[in-house]
Amino acid sequence: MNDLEKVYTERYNKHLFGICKELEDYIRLCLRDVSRIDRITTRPKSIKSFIEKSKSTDNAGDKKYLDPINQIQDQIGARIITFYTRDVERIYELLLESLKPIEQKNRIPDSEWEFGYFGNHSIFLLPTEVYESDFEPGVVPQFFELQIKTMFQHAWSEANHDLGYKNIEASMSPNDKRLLAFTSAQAWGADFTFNDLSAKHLSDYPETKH
Amino acid sequence: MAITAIHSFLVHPLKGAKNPFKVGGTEVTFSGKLYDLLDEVYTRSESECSIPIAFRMSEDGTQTNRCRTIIQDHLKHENLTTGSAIAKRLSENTTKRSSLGLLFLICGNEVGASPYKKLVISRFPVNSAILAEENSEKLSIEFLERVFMRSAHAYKSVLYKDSSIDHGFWKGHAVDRQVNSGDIETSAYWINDFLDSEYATTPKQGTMRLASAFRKATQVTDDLDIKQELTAASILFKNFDGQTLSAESALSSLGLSEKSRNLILSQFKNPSLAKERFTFNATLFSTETPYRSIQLDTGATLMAQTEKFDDLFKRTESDNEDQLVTYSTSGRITSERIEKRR
Repeated sequence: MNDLEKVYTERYNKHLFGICKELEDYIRLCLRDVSRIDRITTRPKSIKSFIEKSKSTDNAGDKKYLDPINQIQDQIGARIITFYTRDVERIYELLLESLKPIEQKNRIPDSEWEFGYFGNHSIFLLPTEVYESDFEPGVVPQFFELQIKTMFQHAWSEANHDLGYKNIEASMSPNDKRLLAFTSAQAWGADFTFNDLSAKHLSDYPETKH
Repeated sequence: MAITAIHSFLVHPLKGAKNPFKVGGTEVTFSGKLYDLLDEVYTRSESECSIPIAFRMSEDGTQTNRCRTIIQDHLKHENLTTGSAIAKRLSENTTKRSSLGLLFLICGNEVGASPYKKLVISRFPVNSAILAEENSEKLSIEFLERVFMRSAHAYKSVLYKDSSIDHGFWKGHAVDRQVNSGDIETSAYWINDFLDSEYATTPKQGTMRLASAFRKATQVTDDLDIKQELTAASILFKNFDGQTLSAESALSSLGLSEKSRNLILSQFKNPSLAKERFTFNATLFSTETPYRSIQLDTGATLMAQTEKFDDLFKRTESDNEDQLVTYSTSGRITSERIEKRR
C-alpha cells in the first residue's frame, strides 16, 4: 500500500461514511417539501476507484492529478434522481438556498448530432452540518459532487458504466457505438415526452421548458 | 505557528476613479512593536474572524474566482508584487466613503499533524489623533493625521487557511465590524466586492439550524421554566430579522438564563455551528419554530408546540360572516403567572 492509498484508506474508514450519512440527511431536509424525487443517495468514493482515478492521464499522457487527495473533488458523491427534466433545474435552484457551489456543469454531448451522457453535475462546499467536530485543514474533504438526473438519464448512464464504455470504446465497432447512442436518444426522447405530458396533465406544472 | 511574510500597503479609495493605481507597499520586519501587534492580529484572527465566507463560483460555472486567484498567487510567492495585486483590488473596490486604509497581508505556515498555510488580510481604517508629550517643563500636543487604528469600528479582517494552495482556499472567516451598522454600502464592499465572496452559511441554512436547536431543546426538557423561556425567546427572535448573527450572540443578547442557553447550544452537533454568523430570516424561523401561537382580537394568546397545536386546541368557526372562531382546551394547571406590563 503506497502513501496515497494509506492516507485515503484512513480518511475513508474514519470519516467518509459518517459525512455521507450526514450529507444525505441534510439534502433530504433541504428538499423535504419537494415532490417528484425518485431517490437521494450519497456514497464515499471506493478506495479502488480513488486510486484508479489518481493514476489517470490526459490526452498527452500526463498525469491529471498531481495532488490527488486535495484535487479529487468527488470523494463524497451525492445523487438526486428526478421524474422529469424540468425538476433538475428546479432542484438545483432550491439547493442554492442551502449550499454553496464552486462549479456547475450541464453535461451534454459535444454536438447536436450526437447522443450520449446527459446530467447536471455540480461541486459544492460540504456544509458544516456534516462534520461532527472541527478538523484541521486537509483532514477531511471540503467538497462533494452532486449529480441531478432524471430516471432515464440515470438508467442510461448506469448501463453505460456497467458496460465499461471508457475501457472498451477503442475496440467497439461503429455499429455498437451507434447502438449506444441510439439508447441514449431513446432515453432523451422519453424524457422529452414525459416532460411535455407532465406540463399538460399535472396542474402544478403550468409551463413547458426544454 | 510561524509568520513567514508581512506586507503592508496604503490603500486609497479609487472605486470608479480614472487614475491608475499607484501602489505604495513595504515589507514589515519581524521585530519591534509593530511586529508584536501584527503577530497578535495573526493569532487572534482564529477567534476574531467568525463569519464563514466562501468565494463565489464564476458566472460560467467554472472553478475560477478573480480574488481567490490573486490570493493563491500571493500565498505562493509572498512578495510585494503579488501583494500589490491584492491591494490594487481592494483600492478599486473602496469608495471615498470608506476613505484611506492601511492593508496588512500576513502569511504563515502552521506545522503539526496536518500542516497548512495561513493568510490574514487586515485593513486598518484611517483616523486622526492628538499626540501629547509631557516632560518636566511642559506639555506639547500635536494633531496627527493618517493614524491607523485597529480598534476603530470600521476594522476589517479575513482569515484563510488550507493545506493546498492550488486546490483549497475556497473558504475563509471574516470580521467586519460594520456588518450590522445598517450602512449597506460600506459593509458590503469588504466581503462581496473586494473578496468576491458571500456568507458560507446561507440565511436558510443558518435559520433552520437555529430553529432545529430550539425544537430539540423543547423536546428534551421537562423543566417548565426553561420551556417558558424558550417560548418567549422564539417569539422575540422575530426582532432579529435581516440581521447578521450567530446562535451564540443572539442567545446572549436575549438575556436567557444559563440553563436555557446551554440547553439550546448543546443541541448543535458541532459547537462551531453555534458560532457561525449568517443573516437571520424571521419568517422562515417562525415556520420552523417549536411553538405555534395565535393571537385573537380579544387580546387572548394561545400557544403550544407546533406539532401538537391542532390536537390541543379544538377550533370551531362561526357560520356567520363575522370570522369568529372559538378555541377550547382542557388540562390541569401546572403554573400560573402574572406578567407585569410596563
